[in-house]
Amino acid sequence: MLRSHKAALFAASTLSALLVLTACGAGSRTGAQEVDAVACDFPAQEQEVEVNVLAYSSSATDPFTNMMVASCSKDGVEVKHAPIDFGGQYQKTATTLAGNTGSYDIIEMYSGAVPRYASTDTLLALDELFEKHREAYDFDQLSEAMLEGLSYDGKLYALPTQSNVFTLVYREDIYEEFGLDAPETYADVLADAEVIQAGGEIKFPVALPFADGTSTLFEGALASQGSTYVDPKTGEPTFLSPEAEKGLNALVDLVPYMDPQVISFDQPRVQQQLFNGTAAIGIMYSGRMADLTNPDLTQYSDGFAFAPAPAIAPGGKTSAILSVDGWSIPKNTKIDPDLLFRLMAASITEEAAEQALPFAYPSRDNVVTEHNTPYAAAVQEALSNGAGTPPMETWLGTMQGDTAVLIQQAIIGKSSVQDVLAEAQKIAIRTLSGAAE
Amino acid sequence: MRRRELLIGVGPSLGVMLLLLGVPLIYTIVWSFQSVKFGAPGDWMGLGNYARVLQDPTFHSAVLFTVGFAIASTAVLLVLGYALATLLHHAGRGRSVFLGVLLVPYVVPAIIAATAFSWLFDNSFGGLVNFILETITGEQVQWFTNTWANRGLILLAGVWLGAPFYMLVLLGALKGVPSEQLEAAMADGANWWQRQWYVVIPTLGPMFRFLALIGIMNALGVFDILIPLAPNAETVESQSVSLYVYQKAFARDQQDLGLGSAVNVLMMLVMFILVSPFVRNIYREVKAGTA
Repeated sequence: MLRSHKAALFAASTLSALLVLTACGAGSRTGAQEVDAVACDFPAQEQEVEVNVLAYSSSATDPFTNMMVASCSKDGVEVKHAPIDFGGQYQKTATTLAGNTGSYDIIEMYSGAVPRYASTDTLLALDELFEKHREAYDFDQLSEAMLEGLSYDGKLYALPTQSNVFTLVYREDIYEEFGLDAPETYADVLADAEVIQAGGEIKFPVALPFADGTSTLFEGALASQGSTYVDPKTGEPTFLSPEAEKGLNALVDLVPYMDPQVISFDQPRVQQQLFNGTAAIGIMYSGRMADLTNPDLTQYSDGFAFAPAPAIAPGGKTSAILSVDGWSIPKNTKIDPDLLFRLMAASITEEAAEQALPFAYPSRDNVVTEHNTPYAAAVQEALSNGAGTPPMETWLGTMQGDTAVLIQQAIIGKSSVQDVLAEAQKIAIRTLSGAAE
Repeated sequence: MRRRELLIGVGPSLGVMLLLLGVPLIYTIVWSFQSVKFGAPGDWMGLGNYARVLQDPTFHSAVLFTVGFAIASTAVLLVLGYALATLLHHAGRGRSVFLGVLLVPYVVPAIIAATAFSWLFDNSFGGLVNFILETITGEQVQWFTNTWANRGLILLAGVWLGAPFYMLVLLGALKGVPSEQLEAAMADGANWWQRQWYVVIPTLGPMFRFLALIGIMNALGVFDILIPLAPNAETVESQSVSLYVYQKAFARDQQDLGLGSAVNVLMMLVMFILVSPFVRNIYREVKAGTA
């Protein structure tokens, strides 16, 4: 439609300029890592087998996916994987598992999704295959906590690749400048933030991922006090408990020290705040921590230190929440599950796990050291201090989604903590009764 | 044209349309009366989905936002599109350059354009507009967490993305305004505003109605631009009906296709109410041979 080449050229130049302009400060990210293939043993296939893998792309999951593709595409097997984001994986998992035939043969699974798919009998329980290959793949090295995080009703539904633990990151250089110690509780974070803000250089020192982590932050606050969404004794939701009020108040108390738009911050944006130096304290999943030590991404790469997510009360448990990722086999695959299991197992061998460092905290955590993984000590301390998964229940996702919006309203001051918790209690009761039907 | 030739010519496309539009429509209506999960046959529940939706305050908020956005964005786009088209119609040598600049957002996929647009208002990614506004006013606008600021941001992005189409269509239509009528009006002493109001705009009337129809239909389905522009759409009450359906039917663990279908049926009714006056007028004009 353009009338002349000159106009087309001008449009293209303007478009480029606009994209450059809007990309100011956007930074770049590490792409998929190159991997050196490892041994992937399986009987040669008489007929060509195409294995389709569904796995979202991230610096923590890519090493395992790439390892499977690079190591196991041979002897009549072709492993195929197309890059996709987490939202895409979420939807495609639901649709591919819905019918008698699916599009994928291996699906990336995570703790929060296991109950839903395991309870609907769409995933293969892996216990028999796990026992069969235990010795050959030295599965005794796998983290017990991570195996637990992918189990439902006593059965294992995914082979753990790596885990993410909500972890605290802070600018050690700034802490030293103000003579502060590493924070251990939310009260410490609050006091430190006050000091840093008063210093005048950083207006909003704390960045928390409320856009995609509200429920995890709140669950962590409950877990730190030994509580969870539902009281296991009474079966009643706990939003009206003193623990819920204390936990939510701990988050709301930080509001003056967080960007007023903090509820729009997802984890990449929290990372960006830390990259830019506009925040000094953050909480994110551990899989995002390695990027912070990359000098190509931030000038403050030497200044970051890591600690377990803060406890609500002194001496209490960490508020860390564990989410485990792993490989699962859909029941509707037409490919031999034993073959698929071997491909999955090859991608998490010790040699493979070493190559995933430091971007992932692998299920073979014996390969993790403070030298190869800067946030290792924080994660190990959190795990030994009782960091666990949220309740492995079918109602979890609905409960998280419906109550997160309310908690965000408390953060932006749209509703009081008491009103939010009262409303959340009603919703939680409805969610539990819906799940029971 | 004989009936047989007409059938041969139109039949295949009619068949494809029935397949692609008719079948999903029937499924949507049937599912709206059922509880449906992925891969499982639905369970009949009568008007249960409709009752749930109509009692859900989040849905009320989504309808208000969507209808408000449709009306506001269409009105702004008509005015702005007309203003830009008029400017370009009278532009001299620079017309190609201006056209090129104005077409930039039109050639970029909406989700990418909206993401880039959002960075202009986001301090984490440069926030050029924020910087300018703060320098001038000393105030920071909470574009992503304040309800009306966020709605304004979405409207701005919608207008930025849609304006080139309106401008192009109206620019083409302006060329069809009879010069005799304009000259006669000038001879009668009509000033520029009077010529626009009494000659140009009435002549372009059918085109305005067509654009209004397209604008309302497009805006009622607003979805993709909200992903980067309203990351907490539900919390800040900037959630559109399409986003509400997406959340209920696909994004969360409920995956309630029945509820999503009921919302879609209700939205078809809303759309019918909003666009029927325009459709009726366009039909009359086509019938009278004026369009």
